[in-house]
Amino acid sequence: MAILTYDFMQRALLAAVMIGLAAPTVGVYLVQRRLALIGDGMGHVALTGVAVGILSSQNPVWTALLLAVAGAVSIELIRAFGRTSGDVALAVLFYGGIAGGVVLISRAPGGTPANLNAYLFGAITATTPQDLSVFVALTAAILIVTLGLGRYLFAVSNDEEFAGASGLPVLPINLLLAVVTAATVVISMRVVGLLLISALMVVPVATAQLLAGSFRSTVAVSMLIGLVVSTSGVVASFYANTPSGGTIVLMAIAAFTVVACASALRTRVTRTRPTVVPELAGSRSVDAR
Amino acid sequence: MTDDVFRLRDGVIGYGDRPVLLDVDFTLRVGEVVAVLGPNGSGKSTLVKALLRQAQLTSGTLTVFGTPVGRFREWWRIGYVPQRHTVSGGMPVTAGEVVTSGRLARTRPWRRFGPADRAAVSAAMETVGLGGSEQHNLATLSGGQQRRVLIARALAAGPEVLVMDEPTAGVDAASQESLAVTLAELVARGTTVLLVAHELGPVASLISRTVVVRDGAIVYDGPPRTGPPEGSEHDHPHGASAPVSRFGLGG
Repeated sequence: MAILTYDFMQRALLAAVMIGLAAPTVGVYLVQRRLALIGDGMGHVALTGVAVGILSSQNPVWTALLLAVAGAVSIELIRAFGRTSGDVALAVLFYGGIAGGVVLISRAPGGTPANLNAYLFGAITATTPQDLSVFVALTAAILIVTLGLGRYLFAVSNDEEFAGASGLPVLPINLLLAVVTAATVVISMRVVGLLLISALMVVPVATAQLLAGSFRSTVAVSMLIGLVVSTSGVVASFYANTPSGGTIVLMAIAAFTVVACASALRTRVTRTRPTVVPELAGSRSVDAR
Repeated sequence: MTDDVFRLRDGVIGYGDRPVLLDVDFTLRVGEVVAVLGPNGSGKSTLVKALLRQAQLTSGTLTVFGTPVGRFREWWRIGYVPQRHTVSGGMPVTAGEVVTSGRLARTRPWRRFGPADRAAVSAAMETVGLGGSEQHNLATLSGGQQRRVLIARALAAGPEVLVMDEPTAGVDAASQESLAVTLAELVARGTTVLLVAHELGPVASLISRTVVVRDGAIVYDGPPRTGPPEGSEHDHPHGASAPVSRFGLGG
């Protein structure tokens, strides 16, 4: 492909591959815990980190990571120990994050609305070679946690009360999930953008839910969908000259819409036929022994 | 006192600043089948949750298998079935995946989930009468079958004690009967059982002791009574006839 002759496109596509694979493996646990929008909040907090990086002439990837991790840990601690005002505390943190980012960037030398746009909505030209090496390390760390400790994350996300009663370290596991969520926000900040990353954690998972019959296959299918929409979104963004984050998210939503319609249609067709689950019908007689 | 699974003295239990139970003494001995009864909102579930660290013990002392609760680490010895009417929330999850999460109390992170672990999961499914249906999506199972999956999850770590919160609530008569069969089998194997119930139904014949909680206090602790259940005002503790203990270890 001709577009691969451009260095920036090679980097954008590599970043897209990493985001596409990693984001759904984190999102699947967020969706299971009904915290689908938490990634959105972390994106807001990371924006302040980006602004701090620009102001202090550091690589904004590092400062965004620092702030996103701090935000993620605070969110989890507010959830674990906070009282009824926890919801409001989260709102303050999130809007404080984006407001701080916008104000700080405006004070930076050369800070313009244009480069703010790239951080918020993604751009295919934005990924630097240094970014890429950081992203590789972060993606590896994310996948080691989400796939390697998947059973633990599943147990805690599925039933926190049971997990706690059976002696699993619930708070450390939740903090670990919060930290990998922050890392996912950061690897996505170049190509997808801080305001849109949450979509890539949630929409491929929502699509996979409609197709899969188990949690394990939901993870696998959502990774595949994430990979396809993020890479094809980057390519489409190049040819159509559109912001990459928005293009990727529209691709993901298109995939979700197609699958949701097909799934609804299939349900209507199968509902007309009675379904029998033979093994379970048989297990009744096992009970009676 | 290693014959005591739980030993709670002068317990004050609550959530945050709000105490639900005041000055509660409760003991569960190895081999007993104890039912905690009481009207809705009496604090019976809170009592059981406090024993498992899922409600806050603001004062009092609690030992688990003779060890102070803060130092107790072998939580796999106690299987917990929380009160839950539906299990899944849109995420496709198989019965086997849920039961597997109950096995984690016996495994270590980064270790492979070995053949012994898989066998324990299958055996737990078998015990609740759902053998061979590990691959079934939870959403396709009936409410009673889902409840049995949660019991299998509690059994997957091979516990000596089973703690169940309202196991019969919201399931049909047939499922209650099959639950009673499963429970009878576990009791026969020597499993100690602590269950919270609003009404006992078909499991009543298995119970060796009842504890009645009302308005945040234990108002009766003794042999199961026949006749009107917890609603009656005639609370005459019969301390003399201690129930026959079964000391066999389950799992």
